[in-house]
Amino acid sequence: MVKKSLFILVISLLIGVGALSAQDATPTPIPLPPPPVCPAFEGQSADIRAGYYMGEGIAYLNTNQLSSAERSFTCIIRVIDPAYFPAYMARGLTYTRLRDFARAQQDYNQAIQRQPDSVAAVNNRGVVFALQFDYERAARDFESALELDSGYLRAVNNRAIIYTLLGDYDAAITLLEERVQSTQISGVLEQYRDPERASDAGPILFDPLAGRLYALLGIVYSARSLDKYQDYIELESYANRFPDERISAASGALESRFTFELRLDDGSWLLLDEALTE
Amino acid sequence: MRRLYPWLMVCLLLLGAGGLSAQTNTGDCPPLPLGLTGDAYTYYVGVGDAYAARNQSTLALTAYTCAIDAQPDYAPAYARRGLAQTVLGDADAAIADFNRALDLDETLLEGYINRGIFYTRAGNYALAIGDFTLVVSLDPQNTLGLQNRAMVHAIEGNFDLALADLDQAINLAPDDPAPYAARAAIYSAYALQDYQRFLDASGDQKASLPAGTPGEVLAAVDNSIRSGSVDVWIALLRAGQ
Repeated sequence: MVKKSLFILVISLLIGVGALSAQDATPTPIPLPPPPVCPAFEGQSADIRAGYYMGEGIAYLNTNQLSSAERSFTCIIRVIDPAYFPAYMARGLTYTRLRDFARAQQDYNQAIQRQPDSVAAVNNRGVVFALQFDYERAARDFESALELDSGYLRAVNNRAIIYTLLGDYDAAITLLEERVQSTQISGVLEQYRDPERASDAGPILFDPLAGRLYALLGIVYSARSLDKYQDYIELESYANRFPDERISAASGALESRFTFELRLDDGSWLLLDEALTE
Repeated sequence: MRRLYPWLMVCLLLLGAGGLSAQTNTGDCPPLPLGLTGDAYTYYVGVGDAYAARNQSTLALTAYTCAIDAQPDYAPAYARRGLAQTVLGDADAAIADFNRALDLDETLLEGYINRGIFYTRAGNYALAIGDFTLVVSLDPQNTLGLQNRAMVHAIEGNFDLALADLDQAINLAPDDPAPYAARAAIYSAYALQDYQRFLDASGDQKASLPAGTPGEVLAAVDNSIRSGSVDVWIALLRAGQ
């Protein structure tokens, strides 16, 4: 009897340990390799050394030497100054390009911990969540970025894409229409279309991200159209009727667009803040 | 004439200032990173080093120029820009940079190393050996000086001297991969020398080599090491007479 109780106790403990670790939501820390060798400007101040490795890393990043760039930024983080915010931003970007999302997320966490009001860090972490199909946390980050700066168009773009991916077209359209108004991009269009505008008038400068709002609106309306076409086709199928061929064709064309050029879940429409330099 | 003289001076000064600003134009400098807390020059040196490592000498040259603009007394930037000028074929600019670097710091090893590379590429082997020897004298542990001097010895056909320098470099830094590759090249040179001796001794410059051409033998030796095949060595056994 004692033996049986002991056996049950051991089994219960084992099950308990298993259940606990399954519930543990804290991500497993990624084991750290030994720090790299970073001899440049050895013995000089952290500022001078961090400046060197930022330069080296950004140049490597610009030439797509991502492993080398990662090593440069790691020199700053692991060897020179673990509190150096720009190095986390730069390495987070490097890991994102390497599609090492777990490490990218860690770096953006560190960046946000050091500068909680960094809209770029919050936005970029949101992109990393979205690239891992964690749309809930991505949406939360894009919302936070917009709370920090409501005029930050990268987060507007990204938030609208998440709304669209989740089928909330109305929310996406409302957000985009609001920003079309607040950026006054429609005014730029009106000026260009003004028949009185002189033929030799110079270009009107505008933020390309503001112009892109129109493109996104078009995408969201198209996604909504596709949904409606598909609703119609589904209804006809329940009634054992062939749907109108013109609608089937339009639906097929849009479906193809959303499978290829306008595919929203492949990350290509999300906007990272890649501004590491002035 | 006395009235004209001050105007002439002003004009000359203005021209001089224009010339200076043309040399130190920072318009093409890469933008500085957001949140940079240190001096700009180390940032630009880092940019230059990364581009130089990628053999993008024009971009490296621009970055080193920016570093020099930001910190005109930083000697290594001149030494590195000189090397970029060397690669880009501007000998006068290169030598001016090396000399400026060594004027600023006469013990700057990379100044002598890079100037030695310049002299080597220019065919001035005596000057190159002089620079690399100076490096080794200033820093007897300097494996770059040893390896570079070895390469100049090799160019001059002095393989024994080259091998001695590379052996020393390998003894000093057994974990550094570069001198092994250089020493392998010297062994290849010895191998080719012996093949030539074989042909000379055979009295027939078209004689077939016992184990194949030098390239075939190298491949066969590689195969022997990897697979344990002893064919290449068997082919070189000689029958009793």
